[in-house]
This record gives sequence, structure tokens and C-alpha cells, in this order.
Amino acid sequence: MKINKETRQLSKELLRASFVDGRLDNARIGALVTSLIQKKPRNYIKVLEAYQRLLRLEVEKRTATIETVTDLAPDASAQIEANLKRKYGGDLATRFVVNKELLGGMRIRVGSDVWDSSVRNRLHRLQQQL
Amino acid sequence: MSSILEEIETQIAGLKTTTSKSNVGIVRETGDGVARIEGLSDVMLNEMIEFSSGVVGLALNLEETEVGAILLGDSTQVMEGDEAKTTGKLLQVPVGKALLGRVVNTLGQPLDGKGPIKSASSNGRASASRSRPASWRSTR
Repeated sequence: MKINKETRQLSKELLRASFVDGRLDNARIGALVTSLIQKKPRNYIKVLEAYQRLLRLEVEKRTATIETVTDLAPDASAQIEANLKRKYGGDLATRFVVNKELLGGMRIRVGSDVWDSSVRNRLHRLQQQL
Repeated sequence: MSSILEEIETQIAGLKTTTSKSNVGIVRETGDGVARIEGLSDVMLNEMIEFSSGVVGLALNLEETEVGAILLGDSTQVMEGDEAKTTGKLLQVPVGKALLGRVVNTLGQPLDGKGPIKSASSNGRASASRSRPASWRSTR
């Protein structure tokens, strides 16, 4: 997405203002968006789009997606969640997804970091080595 | 036949079964041989990026939330939403006498159907910046 410098700076300022005590605050975000729509600064729709994208990336950074072939037992899920929260902080949200394509094992994604112990990944690595 | 089986067994034994950590991103735009990728927070300038389709790209434009990469392969195979991961390697091509008389693509992979290039270097590869004079001489 091509945006100009002014739009980028304003969207970043909005993102910085969206945090309360180091966490994204829904009420603050709503107030910022309402204020922006009412004031209608230049290119405000582009600013809103850029702001939404930055917010989405920020939420992704604070969300762990755990992919497995079958549903995990509640105690296993709780243990994984606790371990991830210990590593990334207590405000980390977790999302459990069933993905049959993994063939086995588990794949965890937090932001750009991926831990992949799936059978599919092991087979892929073996294929590359051969 | 038995030697092939032994070789495969050796490869399997040598395969790391531990969990691997990688840095990934998602393709947001692609066109004109360039992909814009969201994520890839640990990518290096000039690092090779591997897309889920197997195509390799070269990270050139590092921005705060996006990475611009040129595609060194069939760009039609890279789609929006594809995953891309860092390889930890700068652009590399094989060098040495084995390259003499061979026809290769931009990644040094053979195009002449004469099998893989058995490079003389210890790891089989060297950085492009160091290899350019050797490969240039070998293709003259």
C-alpha cells in the first residue's frame, strides 16, 4: 500500500496514542477513530486504512496461533498457553486451530516467529536434504 | 540399490527432529517480479527468502512493517497470502571448476540437464560478491 509521509506519520501517532499501560485500549482506539472521522483531516480515509493495518500487525504480535492436527486436551492447551505467556507476557492471546495438512506435531506462530515441529515440516526438510 | 537405501538412512539419521524456529511473513502484493511481504521482522538486507511455492526471493527494501523482495524464479507461482520465510543466507551461488561450461540460472542452479554442480568449496557455496570473478571467468 503506497501512502505518503504525512499519512504514515499520522497513523503512527494514532497507534502510539492507542496504548494505555503498554496495552492496546479499545476505548481509546474508538475515541481516536471517532475524533478523526469528525475532524476529517486531509487524506483521513488513507490514514484510517494505515492505522487499521498498524493495529492489525500489533494485534498479530500479541496473538499466538497454535496449529495441531487434532484438538488438544484441555490440560495440554493450558500448559502451552502458560508457557507462551511466560515467554511473551501475560497479555498474549491464544488461538487454537486444527490443521490436517500438518500431518502431525504442532506449529506455533507469534507475530513473525514460527516454531514448527510438524511432520510436514520435517518431511519438507528431509526432501531438501535429499 | 542397497547403497541408495543406506544413503537415505544416513540422511534420515542426520535430520534434526527438534523444533525449528523460523521468521516468516505473508505476501501482501506481488507484481512485476517484486513481492511485498508483511512481517519478516528479522530479515537481513540481501538475504534469500523462500516462498511456500519454493520460489526464492532477495530482500532488498526493508521497511518498518514491510519487506520488498525481488523474485528470482517463476513469479507467477507467488500469490497474495503465501508464506515467506528467511533462510539466514545471503545471495549465494556455487563456484569452482565444476561451474566451467555449465548453464545456470540466477541462483546457480543448473539449467543444462547435466546434474547438480559439485562445487569444490567446503560448503559447496560461496557468497555472490566473492564468487563473481570466478563465475565470470568460467563462463567466458
